[in-house]
Amino acid sequence: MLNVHQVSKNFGSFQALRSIDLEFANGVYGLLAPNGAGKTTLIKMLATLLFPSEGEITYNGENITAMDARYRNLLGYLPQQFGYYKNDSPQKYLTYIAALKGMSQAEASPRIAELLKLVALEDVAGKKMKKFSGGMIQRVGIAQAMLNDPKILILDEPTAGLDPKERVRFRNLLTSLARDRIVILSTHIVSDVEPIAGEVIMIKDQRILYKDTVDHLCRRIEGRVFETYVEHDEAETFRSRYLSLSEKQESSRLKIRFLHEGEAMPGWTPVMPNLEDLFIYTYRDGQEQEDKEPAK
Amino acid sequence: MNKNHFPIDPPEEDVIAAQIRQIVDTALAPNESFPVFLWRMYKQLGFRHLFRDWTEILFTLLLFISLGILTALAAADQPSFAAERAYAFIFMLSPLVYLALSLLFFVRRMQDPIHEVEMSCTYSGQQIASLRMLVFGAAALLINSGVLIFLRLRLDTGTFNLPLALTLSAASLLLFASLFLYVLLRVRSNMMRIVLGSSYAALCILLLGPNESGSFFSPDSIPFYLYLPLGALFAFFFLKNLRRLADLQRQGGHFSC
Ligand SMILES: Nc1ncnc2c1ncn2[C@@H]1O[C@H](COP(=O)(O)OP(=O)(O)OP(=O)(O)O)[C@@H](O)[C@H]1O
Ligand SMILES: [Mg+2]
Repeated sequence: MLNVHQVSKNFGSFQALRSIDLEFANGVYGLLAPNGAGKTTLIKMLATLLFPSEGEITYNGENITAMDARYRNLLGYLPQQFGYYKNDSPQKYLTYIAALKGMSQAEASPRIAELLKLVALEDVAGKKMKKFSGGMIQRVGIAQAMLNDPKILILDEPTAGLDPKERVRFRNLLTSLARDRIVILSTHIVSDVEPIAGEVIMIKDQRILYKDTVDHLCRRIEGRVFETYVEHDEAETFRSRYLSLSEKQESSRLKIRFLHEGEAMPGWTPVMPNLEDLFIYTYRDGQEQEDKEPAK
Repeated sequence: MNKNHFPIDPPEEDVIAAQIRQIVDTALAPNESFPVFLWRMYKQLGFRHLFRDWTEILFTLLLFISLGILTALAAADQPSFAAERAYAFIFMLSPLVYLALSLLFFVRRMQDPIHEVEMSCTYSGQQIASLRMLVFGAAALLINSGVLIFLRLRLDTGTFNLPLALTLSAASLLLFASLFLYVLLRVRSNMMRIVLGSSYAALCILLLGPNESGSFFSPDSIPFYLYLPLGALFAFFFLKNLRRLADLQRQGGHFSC
């Protein structure tokens, strides 16, 4: 069990996170928030790369900083900016990281072969990484994080640069991994977490706004999301009156999915809200947040 | 007796394991000594992971060859110069190999793209850095001794005292290496570091540099066996500072250079 107790993080006079309380058991947690919300800051504290300005983080009741190497032994971490040596091959790079993770050569070799296969890089295992595409590099990063079969897997925007096929593979992989470990991934792409996250954590105004299942989160705006068709020349006025969530061209008209707080009008179809709707509603520009109750 | 008749659920396996470790760790304090830790880490990592690639080793070799050539040229030019000034040169130049190696390493460290992943591994970046500094120290010691033995064989100066040269070289290297680490770990401002570095260089030149009435301090005025305890003392400080470097993460700090 990984616990965050009243953690704040300041960078000089700027406060990036304020009084964060979180609890992680086995399962997938999606950290969902827009750019600059503090996802990376929280993740780096969980990976012991940054230290909380206030509060503490514990694993099974022990402070993770005090646990030191014993904690890092349990950790797999993929940074948002995954750095690598251009002239290394995935094989060489993974061998190096395995050594740093304290794995013996005998343990590391079969594990590396297995992981290279898992991320579909076995054919290029000996090629220099400078010739790789962004998605291939990202997959090396994912393999690196899983080398030591970590009990705590922390991934900062792991799907950045992956093509749709790899995204699906990766999601399935995480679901199977999460049965007996904590998986925390940050993203601002809703579809990366919606199908797999046991719980979604949303950060706003330096605080945890929600930590809940996708179903519960969507229910917060139930009954307020509709779809309707509008003519192109009416679209501008419509958008100024209602919060447009998504739009789709259908024959000559526009199908708009939108949020409205009051009575439904004829011609509107009520629809089930999804996580994306909540995301756009929560982080809509300039407007104040009415729903300010903190997470449980 | 039925084993399943516990009134409360047994704790999770994770929790049990963590508690056992905590108890064992507490009972076994003090932890393994630092040299033992370094040795274990060295055995685990092996030599090939200490250097990222061969350019670092190549760089050292080039440095060593050019130093050798320079010294040989200077000695050939002035036959009388070699014997009298050799010790002063040894004192000044011995740390240079170490300095060059360490600076190269720290410059690379700053541009190191892998830093975050390394930091999140079981052996932190600092622990490996401290092991590397130790290996650099040992490498510099060996290189210096090699140069000195080479000089002794090449120069037919009967006055050239090899034991003195070797102990002096080791002592000056260890003195410099511990000062270098101390400044790196304890002095935060870059300006201050530069000032201290230049002061050390200036002091060396002032103490040993040629002037009309000879130098202020001549290393061969001290018998060589006195350099042994001095060297041991500096080696102790060097290890102490290495340990501080390795422990940085545990204290919640990051070193910056
Ligand atoms: N080292 C730092 N010094 C000062 N401010 C920082 C530092 N790191 C982050 N910040 C600030 O903290 C805030 C949160 O940054 P963070 O990188 O955690 O956001 P994020 O949610 O990961 O964003 P993104 O989706 O773009 O990755 C930002 O306003 C950022 O400018
Ligand atoms: Mg980020």
